[in-house]
Amino acid sequence: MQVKEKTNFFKNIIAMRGMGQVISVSSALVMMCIVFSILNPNFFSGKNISNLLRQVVPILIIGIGQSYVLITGNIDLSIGSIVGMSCMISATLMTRGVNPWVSALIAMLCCLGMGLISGLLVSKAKLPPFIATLGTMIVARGIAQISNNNYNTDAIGEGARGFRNFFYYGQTLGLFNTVWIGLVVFIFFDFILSRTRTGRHIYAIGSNIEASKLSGVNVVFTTTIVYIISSFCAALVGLITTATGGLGTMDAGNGYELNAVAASVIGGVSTLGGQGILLGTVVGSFIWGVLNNGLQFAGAPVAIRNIVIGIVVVVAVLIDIIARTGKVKKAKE
Amino acid sequence: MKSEILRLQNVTKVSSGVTLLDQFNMMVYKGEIMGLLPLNTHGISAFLDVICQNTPISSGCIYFNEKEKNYPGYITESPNKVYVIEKTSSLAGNLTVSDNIFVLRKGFKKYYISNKVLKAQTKILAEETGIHIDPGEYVDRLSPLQCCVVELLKGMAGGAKLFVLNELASFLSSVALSQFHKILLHYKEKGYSFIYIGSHHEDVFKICDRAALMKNGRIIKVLDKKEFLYEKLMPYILDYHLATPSNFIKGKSPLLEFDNVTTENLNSLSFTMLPGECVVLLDMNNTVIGDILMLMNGQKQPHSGSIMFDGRKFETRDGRKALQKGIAFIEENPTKTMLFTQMSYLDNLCFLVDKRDKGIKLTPKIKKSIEKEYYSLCGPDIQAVDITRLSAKSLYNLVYYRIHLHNPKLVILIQPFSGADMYLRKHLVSLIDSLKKRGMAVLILAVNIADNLAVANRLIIVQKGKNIREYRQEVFRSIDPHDFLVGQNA
Repeated sequence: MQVKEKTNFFKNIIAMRGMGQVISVSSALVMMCIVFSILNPNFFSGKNISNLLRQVVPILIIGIGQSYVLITGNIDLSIGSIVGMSCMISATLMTRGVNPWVSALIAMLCCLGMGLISGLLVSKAKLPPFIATLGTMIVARGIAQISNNNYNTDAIGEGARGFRNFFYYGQTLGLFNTVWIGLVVFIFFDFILSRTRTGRHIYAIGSNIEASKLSGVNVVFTTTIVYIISSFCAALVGLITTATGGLGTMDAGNGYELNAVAASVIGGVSTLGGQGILLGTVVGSFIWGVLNNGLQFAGAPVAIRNIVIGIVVVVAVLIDIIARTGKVKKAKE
Repeated sequence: MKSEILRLQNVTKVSSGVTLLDQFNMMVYKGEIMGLLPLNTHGISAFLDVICQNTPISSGCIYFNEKEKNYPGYITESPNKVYVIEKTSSLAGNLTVSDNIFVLRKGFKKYYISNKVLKAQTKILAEETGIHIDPGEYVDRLSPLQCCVVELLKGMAGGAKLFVLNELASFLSSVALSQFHKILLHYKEKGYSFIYIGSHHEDVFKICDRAALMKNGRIIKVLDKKEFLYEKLMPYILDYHLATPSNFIKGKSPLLEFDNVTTENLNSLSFTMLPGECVVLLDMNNTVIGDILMLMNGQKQPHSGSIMFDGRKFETRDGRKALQKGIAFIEENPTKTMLFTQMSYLDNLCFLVDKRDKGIKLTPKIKKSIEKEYYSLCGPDIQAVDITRLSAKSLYNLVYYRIHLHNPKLVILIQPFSGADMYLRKHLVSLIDSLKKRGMAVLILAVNIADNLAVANRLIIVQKGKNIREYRQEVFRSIDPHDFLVGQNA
């Protein structure tokens, strides 16, 4: 009886939509790790693993935000600029003597406001998400620049030591706090997506928006919430960036929106909406991180790293589309 | 005395100066299947809107569940508990059956979702229908029949007492329709009510308790079950059945030949077609149409067997090549899927001209000449710049005359009568006939027989991917179309 229950449990896990891609991408990740460890035995050293984890967490967090948006069938291009906005607002306030936690809270609220605007533009004003978030991307970058009169900030100083330790330097149970933050964010948002009504509504909107409306799903509310979640994740990464560098830089988060898309789609989140699980985003982030880290270890220049990651993203999307159309055909047959 | 679930009393609805519903009267009892036979499509959308959403009406009154719910000047707080099942699904394909039934509905309160509980509840509901449905299966992997059952269960879980079944025969195969009818009868006994909208009386008479004829937004006649006779309908409907003479060239070598073709859904399918012949391929399980289409436009190759076209082995991996070889396609609802709304009528008409095998270059002079030649057929519509303002009849003309101009050897039509009202269907019969008169062979792929016999020279019944029976035009009169609709002859 117990064996049967266990078999059913694993059967259900494997039958979960998106799990197939997670398993195949995880296999690719394992193979990549093996290749990089052969190229450089230090790849698996404790220090490198620890660094790798810290490098991956920001991509994982914004990847989670982007995954939420992608599952509704939309996209958020403002993520990178919101990272910069959060970084600059928090750092500027800290350098002007505001309590670091209050600064972080204010930065977070401003970023959530941007998410609210993006969400309303997409859901209420019916702007195409690409255009709406392109607009908020430019506005958010402008706010990041104007925060300190078009200058990067000075160092946030000793007063922000607690803040920096909490977000980046501190350790708990042998793991950097950044990693714990990533873990908590993943567990919380994975629970919301897979176990709650809101999560089902997010999938439903991406799957069939008209049917969702007819079934009583508040599409405007849910879509807006999704953009707010995306901004929350970006703002959190902005705070981690501030803690990491100890100052605010205007170009913080540049290009992060595309890294977030990369992490999501590599992990099986469909750009067509309605499909994907956050476990895939975790694996996708690690693929991104391991590629970056491994190629760096192998001495590949930045340009080559970018080319490789770009190719991986395109191949991942291609596989998704082929698998999806193939599955639909098969299902119809 | 039976209690009523819905009553529309002298309902008139005028929108933008157009009378959509005109003194509309209808009553549906609890536990009744009420048929609605619209002779034209005028007013159908307005009817659905007023009974589902309680949209404002100009006069009259609507009662739902014996309560006054809609009259001029009164705006109800909530829509009626009416669920519409139609071709456009109200399900989210990427969610499971249990999610669609329970989570994706108004009034689902629980925030934390227990898959185990939902699946158990779904299983109980699904078992009652007698159709196997896995509660954990994703909806986009279900068959059309299973989707309909899930919609029915979703409506019930949402508290609906009245279901509108809109043109089920246009997307359910004969076998599936027959199974769904049994489920409807089961729930009818349990007190649920249904409005069964169908374009064909054969379909409506089979399952309904009463039937109402609707024309121009008005109920013109209500028939009781004992009056379900074709003779009773004759004063109201157009008779165009079996009007087409057989005019294909007998004795000639076949134009198209399927020889034991096997794919995922075709099971050694064999049939032949002569030039100028019209063959209707009735797909009893609604599985083979997609495969035949993909085989003919090069998207799929047979696993075994061969296809001969015009005396040569037909092998193509490119839809354009199929067009050049003389095979044209007209999709289901072509006015929505095959026309370019940004182009003028003439540009749409000429769209295939330069895609012939030895294509001609479409110069302004040639266009002018085409306009002159087709003016007699298309009339002033040919000068239309904005085709969206044209009537459905004009748009169908455009689709079919474009094929005339292309002049292929074979035209493959997918469910040509789908979504068309009686008058349009009569016109479509003449349009299909005009293809035959031009010597083109016509292959109709259909999931129900209605109207197709009016144009067919031969009927092929395909079940489970296999040609199980053929009828020639001479014996059509002895066929009872009823049997195909419910799949009893299959």
